[in-house]
Amino acid sequence: MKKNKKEKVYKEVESYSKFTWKTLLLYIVLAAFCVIIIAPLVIVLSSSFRDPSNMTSPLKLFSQFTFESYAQAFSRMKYPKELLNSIITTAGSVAVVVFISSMAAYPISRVISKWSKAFYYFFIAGLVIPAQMVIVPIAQNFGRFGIPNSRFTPMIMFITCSLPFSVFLYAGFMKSVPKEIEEAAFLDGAGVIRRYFSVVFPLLKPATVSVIITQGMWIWNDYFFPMVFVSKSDQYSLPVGMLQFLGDSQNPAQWNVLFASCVLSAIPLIIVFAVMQKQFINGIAAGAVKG
Amino acid sequence: MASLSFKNIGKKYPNGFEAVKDFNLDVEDKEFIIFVGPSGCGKSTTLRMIAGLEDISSGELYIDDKKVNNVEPKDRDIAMVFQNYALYPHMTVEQNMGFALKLRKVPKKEIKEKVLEAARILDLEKLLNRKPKALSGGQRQRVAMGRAIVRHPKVFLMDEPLSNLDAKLRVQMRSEIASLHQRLGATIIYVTHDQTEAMTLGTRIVVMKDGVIQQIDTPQNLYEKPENLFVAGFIGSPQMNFIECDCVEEAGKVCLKIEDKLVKLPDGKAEAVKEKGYIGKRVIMGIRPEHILQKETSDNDSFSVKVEGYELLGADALLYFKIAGASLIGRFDAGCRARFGDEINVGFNTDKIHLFDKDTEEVISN
Repeated sequence: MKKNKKEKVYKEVESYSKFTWKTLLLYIVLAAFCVIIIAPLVIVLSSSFRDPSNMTSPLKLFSQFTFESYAQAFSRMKYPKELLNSIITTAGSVAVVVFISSMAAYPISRVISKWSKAFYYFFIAGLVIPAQMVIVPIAQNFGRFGIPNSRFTPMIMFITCSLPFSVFLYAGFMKSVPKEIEEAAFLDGAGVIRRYFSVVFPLLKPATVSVIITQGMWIWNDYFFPMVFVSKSDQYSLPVGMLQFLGDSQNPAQWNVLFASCVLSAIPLIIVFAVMQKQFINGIAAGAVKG
Repeated sequence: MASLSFKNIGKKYPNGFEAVKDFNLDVEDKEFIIFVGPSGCGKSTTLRMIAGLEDISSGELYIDDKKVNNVEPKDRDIAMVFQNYALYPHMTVEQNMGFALKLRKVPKKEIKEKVLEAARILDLEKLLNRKPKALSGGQRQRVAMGRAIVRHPKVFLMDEPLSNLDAKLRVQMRSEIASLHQRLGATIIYVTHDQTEAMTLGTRIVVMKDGVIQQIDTPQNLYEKPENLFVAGFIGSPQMNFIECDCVEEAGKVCLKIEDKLVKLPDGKAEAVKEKGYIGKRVIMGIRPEHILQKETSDNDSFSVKVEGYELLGADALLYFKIAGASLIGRFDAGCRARFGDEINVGFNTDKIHLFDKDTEEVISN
């Protein structure tokens, strides 16, 4: 019996180490997939280093190397101001999402009652309703409530749209926090608020990191809500600022400048990922294994 | 430190399940009380009711003559050590131990002094800056204890604190808990399903089954004078052997008839059997493994048995065999030469026989 098991393990190892037609095909498919993913990024990077007037085929990779497109993108899109707007919008929204969703998930996963289940499903229902579908009545209601169009208005939408997924994530993760830790804090004399902030919330760090990554990324990259709810150009976020390079009926699209602005928009995220790489990976893997 | 009084305590869940029924107990100051019993017997629920983590459905609980049924856990002045230690993973050992004092707004200097004092007692001084994940199981357990003792609570509650440790560490921590009890002079209520822990640590043991107290007594008395069949079987390892037999009177002597053999009862037990009217009735005889004797020759009150199992424990050996259809374990000297399949003669130390009513399972004579 033991021998059979050993043989089976060896066979499995062998099947991985042997190079067959099947594995070759697998490698070709994977390589093609990688090319499909990476190719647009390479084209964007290559084109961004061209002169704005260089309209030769973008497939001639890295045929020119100049920062002219970057300089134009930087000045015309008012990069520092738009970067600040993006940071304010993203950081503010994510902070509120983390605060509200973690607090909402706390009673949902800890209090055993039909109400907690009902609230859980209420939040989950938000996952299946696309915000774009209800944007018209929401915009009308904003007008009725006298909410002005400003850089803060899209934040309401960002927060609302992020809550369902974040509550779902926090509620699931909270179940892995041992109840005894809270009970110990209860006996130590911590009330519910203290228990939450001093004991429970710090233990949710992996879930918090996951929320920051997933929600932060889409909020940073989102073009739709700022376009609908921000009317003054000095309050634009980076994605909306890039819009001018796309051209219109009178002006042709300035692809090289647009690609340079894309890179400029992505750089802050890349820096954040590079600095906090370890924490992010831990956050993404959170809950993958028991531990 | 404090005394506790349980008056008709009961716990009934909304689905109707009664976890604890009519629990009555007086715990004296500085006592080390053990709640022991099989899983689901209500011992942890009772402990959690003392802590205030579970509501008391009926009855009254007093700590130092003050009724605490509706008192918040933090105001009961108790500390609890959990089975999985329940340390705060994001805090250092020092922060873990000082957390309760910090919440009580004790000055920082005083917190540090108290934490250091507890760390000295538990030999944790070098680990104060570490986080729980960097500690071994035994060290974590000591931190959990330290977190409890810095507060100088009235009562210590311990919920199977050693069950996550390996056998060797468990023995070591057991003696540490015992010496801590002596040193602090604390009132401790300790839950375990490990009867060795119960027997070695407790000044008194509460044996529970299905939410009902079976017996409250000292470890020695529980072992020697069990009040019913459950206690007799639960306390002791290997457990007590039981054989169904008839009580008979032969030539003026009260005997137990097992198969065709007559085991003569000593006078004290014979009188009890007679007085309670068990002559001619079927009873359950209990005998501990160490009270089964190996005999050289077969006589009227000894049994010829075939060894069905053999376990060498080091100092002594266990032999498995059957008498009257009942499986029995005998504890013999390690030098015993009997092995699997051998025929041996065994008898009973009749002074150590326990008799139980077959229907009520209550003791007739110990």
